[in-house]
Amino acid sequence: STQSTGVQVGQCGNQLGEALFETVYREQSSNARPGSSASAYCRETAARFFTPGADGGTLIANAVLVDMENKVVAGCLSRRHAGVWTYNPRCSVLSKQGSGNNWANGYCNFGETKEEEISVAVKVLLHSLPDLRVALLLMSAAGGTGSGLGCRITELIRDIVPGVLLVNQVVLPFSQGEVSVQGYNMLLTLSSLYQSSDALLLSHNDSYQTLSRRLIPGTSSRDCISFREMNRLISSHVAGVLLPASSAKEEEKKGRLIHCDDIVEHLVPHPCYRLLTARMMPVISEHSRDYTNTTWEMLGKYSRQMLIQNSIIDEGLIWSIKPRSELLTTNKRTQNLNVSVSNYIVCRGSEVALPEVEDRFKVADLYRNEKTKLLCGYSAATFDKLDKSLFVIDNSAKNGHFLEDLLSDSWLKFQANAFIYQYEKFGLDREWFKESFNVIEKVRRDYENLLPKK
Amino acid sequence: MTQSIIVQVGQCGNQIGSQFWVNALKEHANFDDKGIFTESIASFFRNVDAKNKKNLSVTTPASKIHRLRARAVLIDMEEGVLNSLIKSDVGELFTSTQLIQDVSGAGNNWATGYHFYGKQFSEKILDSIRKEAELCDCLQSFFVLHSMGGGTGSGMGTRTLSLLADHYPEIFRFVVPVYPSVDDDVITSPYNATLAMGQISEHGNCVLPVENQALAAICERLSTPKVDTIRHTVTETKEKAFNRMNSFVAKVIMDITASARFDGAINVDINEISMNLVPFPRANYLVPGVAPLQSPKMPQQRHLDAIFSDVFSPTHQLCRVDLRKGVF
Repeated sequence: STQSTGVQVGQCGNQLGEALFETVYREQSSNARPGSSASAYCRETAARFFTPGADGGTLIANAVLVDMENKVVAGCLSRRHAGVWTYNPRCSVLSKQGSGNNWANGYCNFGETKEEEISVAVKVLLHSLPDLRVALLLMSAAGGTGSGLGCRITELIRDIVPGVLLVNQVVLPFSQGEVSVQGYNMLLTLSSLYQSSDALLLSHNDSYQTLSRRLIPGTSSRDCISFREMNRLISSHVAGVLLPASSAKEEEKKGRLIHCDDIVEHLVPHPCYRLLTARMMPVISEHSRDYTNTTWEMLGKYSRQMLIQNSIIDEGLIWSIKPRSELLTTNKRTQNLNVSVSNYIVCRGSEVALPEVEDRFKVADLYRNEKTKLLCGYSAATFDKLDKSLFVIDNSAKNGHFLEDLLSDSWLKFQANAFIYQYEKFGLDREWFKESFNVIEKVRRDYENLLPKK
Repeated sequence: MTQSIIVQVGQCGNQIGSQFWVNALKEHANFDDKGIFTESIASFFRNVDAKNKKNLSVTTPASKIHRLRARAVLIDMEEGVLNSLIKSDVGELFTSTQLIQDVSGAGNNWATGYHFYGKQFSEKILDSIRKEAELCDCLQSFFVLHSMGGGTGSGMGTRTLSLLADHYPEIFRFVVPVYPSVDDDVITSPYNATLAMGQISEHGNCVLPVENQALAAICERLSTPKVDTIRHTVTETKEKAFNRMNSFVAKVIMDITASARFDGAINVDINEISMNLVPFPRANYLVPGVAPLQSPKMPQQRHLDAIFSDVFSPTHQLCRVDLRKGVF
């Protein structure tokens, strides 16, 4: 089996990481049933994310926990989840001061002073993971530790195990603003990761908040959604992609799985395009499940439309935007079609007519230069007890859309020299910022050029 | 978690300080009444073994509180205020090494405070601070409390601030200066305030200016209709009024640091306040506002939106500024 590990950095990274391991464990135990394929699924899930503990019956999460402020990690380490799994305290690195929302403090200062300790923690973990293929780093882009130190740790892991693929799950802040310097921190993070990581899986707080509202009955647009709710959703999306799947029913019966590194290599064939988005259907609250009947046709239809519009919500979809081959007449609207570098879809649940779903995503218009690049995964095991669920993870043109506003807002601040002295204190100069602007501008342009010209 | 040291200078500074310690103890008692020495209490207090006078750190499993000592340095050039502080309920929180006293006062003269006493007591001040800093696991910030209109508070307060800037450049310096009101009875207060302000702009990381007028107006709104306002000349009432005002300022300091001391979905540490709110080193004046303002005897349900718009209005600020015009 292929092993993977999580590296949780900063408050967001640690809270999200905990939610992810909880989700994975929940899936492992809810699918535990007699029957060879079900037990193979559970064994593989456990093997990917956990290591057996010293006393039988307990599991240790494959994870390194890092934070420069101690409350969150201390909380994670203190809990015995579901009475079964825990984190390994030897794989944790704490400090007291926090990074003060300062990317330079995280990257330059703590990156240097904590390097040794973090190396040791990583090596302790690697000792129990001889078959490690993929490392998933969970972090936010707006803060100081997750963003700055997270970038440094990405480089560090690359140095320690150059053969392992690095995927960064990056949480992007509310566009209204959570932190005054979030623009700078996002810019520095994305620019750094583009040079050191293999793939960036982006989650926007705005989208996940709206999505969470759908799932909680009775909430209006004015109600507050907790981060806990949002983390649960993000981890569903991530887990749905990383949990075991095979390329066909027959393959699953034979126990042949799609490995995590295959997924990453498929999604990122070209170094210029590394931004990924994860989407899932159906999106229904626990409450509504008994009243909703899903079909694979519907799941395929809606999730493809979500991809076309770059949405993670199945509401507000404009059905008139379709691939040219499916239009009866030529329509200017096709210019708004999303174009993918590559896509990975996973169907989980009963009676999948895989070709039916696959065909929907095999349309040439949806891909760069009309070269279809689609990987399909399948598993008979259900996700979150949903009879049928469909996950899409794509490397598509619209993933780079948000960079435009990010660049213009940050450039204004940069020209006014606002807050720059805070970064200069830790050794970052204006040249570094300018370089980051250049890197991100290129990424933005590359993604925009994927779309057909008007 | 990190620790902070409170430096209270002069009459006003020490009076606010004493209310601060009363409120800090109340807050922790409300949060955890089991008498356990947690990280959050450790940010403002030390735990001392009653017999050996040894400093006890936070342990897991948590240890009990034996005797608390405030992480503070108290400075005054007159005896009256500090003596009554030591005799009060919170007097036990302080040891003699934390007190820096003289008898004659600074005569409402900034220069006497800054140059004369400042020079004379520099060594002693640094010594007391050093002793407190050494007892901290991870010192992150100083809170300097003083008035601007007098002599000790403004003069020695700013002298202390510049000493902290020189000797502890990495540690954040929060300054809570109390500005004189229009009807202030100290005739030299405008000079003192101006001279002090130059120092604060230079050496403070974050300045939270407080105006007596604004505070008085807030407290008037909060008090029940029966109690007289400050214009009543009965001394008891005046003292009560000042206590309420000082208590309010103390609460603001605690509220700002609450997110760093207690757990939550987003923890905002003290260094984040400076990072996010001070875009240029000289733009370090922050306006504190509080909402909702409710008398505990007449609580009203306030919608979250109303609280947000209230907190930006001049009637809820500790320093009356029209934020839209951007003029102090």
